[in-house]
Amino acid sequence: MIPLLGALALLGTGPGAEGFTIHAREVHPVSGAALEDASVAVREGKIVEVGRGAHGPRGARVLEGGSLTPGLIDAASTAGIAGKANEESSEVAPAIRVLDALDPKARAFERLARAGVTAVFVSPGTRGVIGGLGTVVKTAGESLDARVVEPASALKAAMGDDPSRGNIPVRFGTPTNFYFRRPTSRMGVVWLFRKAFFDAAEARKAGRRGDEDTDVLAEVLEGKRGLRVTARRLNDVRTALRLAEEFGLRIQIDGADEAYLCAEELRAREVAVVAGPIPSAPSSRFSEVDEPCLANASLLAKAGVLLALTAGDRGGEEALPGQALFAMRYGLPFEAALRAVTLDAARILGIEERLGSIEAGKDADLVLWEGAPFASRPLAVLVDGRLVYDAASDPGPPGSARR
Amino acid sequence: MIGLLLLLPWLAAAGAAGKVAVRAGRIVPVVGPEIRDGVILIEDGRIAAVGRAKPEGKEPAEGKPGEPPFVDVPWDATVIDAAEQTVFPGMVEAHSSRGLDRPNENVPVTPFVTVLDAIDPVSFYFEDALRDGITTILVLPGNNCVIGGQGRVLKPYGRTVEAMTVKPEGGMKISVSPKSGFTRLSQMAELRKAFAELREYRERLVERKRDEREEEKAKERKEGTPKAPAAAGGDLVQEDDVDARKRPLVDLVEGRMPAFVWCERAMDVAHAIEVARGNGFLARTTLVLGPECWKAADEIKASARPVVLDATLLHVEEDPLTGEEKRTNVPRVFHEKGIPFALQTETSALGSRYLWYQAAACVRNGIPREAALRAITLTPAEILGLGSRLGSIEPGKDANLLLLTGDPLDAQTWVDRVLLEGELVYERAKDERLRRLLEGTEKPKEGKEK
Repeated sequence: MIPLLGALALLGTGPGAEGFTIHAREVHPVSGAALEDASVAVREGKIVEVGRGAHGPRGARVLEGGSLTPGLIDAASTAGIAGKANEESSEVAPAIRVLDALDPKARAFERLARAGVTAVFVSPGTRGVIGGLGTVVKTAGESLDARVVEPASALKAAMGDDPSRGNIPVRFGTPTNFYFRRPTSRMGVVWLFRKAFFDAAEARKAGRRGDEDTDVLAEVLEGKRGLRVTARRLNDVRTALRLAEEFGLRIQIDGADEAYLCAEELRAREVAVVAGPIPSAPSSRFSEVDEPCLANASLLAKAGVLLALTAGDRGGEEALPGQALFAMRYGLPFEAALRAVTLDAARILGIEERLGSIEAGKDADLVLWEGAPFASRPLAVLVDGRLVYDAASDPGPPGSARR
Repeated sequence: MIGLLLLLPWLAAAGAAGKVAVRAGRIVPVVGPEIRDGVILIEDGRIAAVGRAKPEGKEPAEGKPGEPPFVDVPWDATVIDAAEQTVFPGMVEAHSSRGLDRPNENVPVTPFVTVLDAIDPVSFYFEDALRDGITTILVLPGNNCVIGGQGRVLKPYGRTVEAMTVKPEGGMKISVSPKSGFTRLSQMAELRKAFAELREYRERLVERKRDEREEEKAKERKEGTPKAPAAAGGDLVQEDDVDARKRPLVDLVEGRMPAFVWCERAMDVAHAIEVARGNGFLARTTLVLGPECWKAADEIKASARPVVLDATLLHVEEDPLTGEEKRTNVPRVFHEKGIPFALQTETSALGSRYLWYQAAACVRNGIPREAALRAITLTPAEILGLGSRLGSIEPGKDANLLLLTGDPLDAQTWVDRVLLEGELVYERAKDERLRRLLEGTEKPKEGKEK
């Protein structure tokens, strides 16, 4: 009996137990039209009511601000990976899970949450042809387990230069180090990709199973698991599309700096794109693309491609709200920009049942902005109904506590 | 509208000579209240009058005191229609080392070099500056120096450096933070040595001149034709007597050249003030600050010097004991202390490559809009010694005007047209490069062997 009471007490004071009533001059549910002067009620980590008269449970804390949006979702983050993001011992490593390398205490998560990003898709890097399984996690929460939305999400693959960079072809003599290996060119990258899926398809046909790697590839072949492909240049995007057709794969593309050049094709094939980060200066850090187009995202959206935005590893002004703000400057309408960092990102990640919009029953991941979303600063950020950032108690920017 | 389009080439050809009237939907003059439905009258490249447009048909009632006056559009003025737009003064960047072939010389003390010889007028930096609404830039040698050389105030328009020049004596670049390969000890030693040598040189020069004068006098006495006695001392030294390599530093210590002193860290600020005060140029010094220098705000306040802030507006550091991140909103510190500050841009960033974004970031973090607008216009103009010519829309000032599609601090606003000294020098509709960046074009790639 006593332990039970203890547990009850814990429930009472536990995370998000007290609830919130959040009022904003403009509420953007994303799933529907914006509401003026509306409130959102939050209880036990979930959104319970949305509308003019909505209010949380008795004793709920009241927050007020200019606008309220769902928590932002970055669909191609690199946050929180402790140590290296690539397992380089094998170019094809489908069963490797990035979740095993995540550090929940990483400062990157704290920064993301502060910027209004409440969930991220993190995947292995682009060094492997098939790099392993990504994961979807919240940026705040008690433990890593509590934060996980999808422990093993889409499989990560990469086209182009990255998987072959630094590898040395074996020509004469004996290989003296690890990098005497395939692939050493784009052709080799595609060959390894094709071989992996070919072998898996053969194994599947023969009814062979058991190997973890083969299982993961078979799931992708069966359409049960997404395949995220990094392809920056137009020719790499086309290669990815070709491979997808060859094996009947459902792919989504990130790093897609030149995707706008085949936007129609991507829409026709229902290939989703995670665009960004927006190049900050022509031909800066983007070694593969000479003159990137600032309006990539807006041209993709205009063509009707399912679109998400990412800030990649960028922080500060270049974090996800900045990406959305500048995508808007470069032609993306506000509604499309908002969708691309909330509901459409959730759709691409297959988590739209739980995240991405302000609807009763969904996780209470919310951002309360001082004014308009992206252009103003977040006043409060909630993850699973817990206040994880509060500008009023932010010791950072002096004088920021004005509410 | 068609008439206006036809007039534009003529306007560009006629340059700043004629009368131009800008009909503005909204004027944000930086100094004074905003004006709706305004008129800016330009004569010979300067603003002649700013006020409200007279409503058509009827004679307006006399405005209340304090309200902007009504301005007539003269019959012979070329009218620029910006009725749907917001007019804002051309922005001013008070410190930049871009647009240069290379920002620094290898030798640590090079007061005699000037950016004149290194500016590339066709650099994308100037093109971008104009496109982004910056109409005046002080280009200085980079921070990697002890005494770096002389800067120049430019407009980002013109085919030669001479044509771009607004003010040739932009200022002397000095760094109290270590140049690469230097420590703070050797940096300061080098700097003190440079000024000690200068002092010695000037003393010797005066001595030499005095000796020469004495000799001359003796000669005159012998020949019996005495001239009027000249004052002994410094005023014997004519400009020509000074070694050309020393002249810029002599100009600095004698008050003809402003100084821009780079302080990377808070600890450098005291050194900067000491060097400037010790050599008599503190009153003409502007401190160019790294993000951490907000910690020296009290010393800066006491020195009564204006500052140019780093493009990184948020200073982040980790508390060594708790491991917590401490973040400081840098402009806010200076604003609250009442220290005049100018904002700077940084090319390789998404937002802070724009001056308007920097000001908008200030407003977002709680600085009054007025102060933020000043930090990209009037304050940098004053720092450049051009406060009477630039930085606001007031009669008598240069007609450097931005015709914007919306509020100057809104991220969705574009520079539609730019007038430089009354001349139309930029039109977004004709900006081919911007169109390419926004619409994208497939272009052939260099095959890369890696």
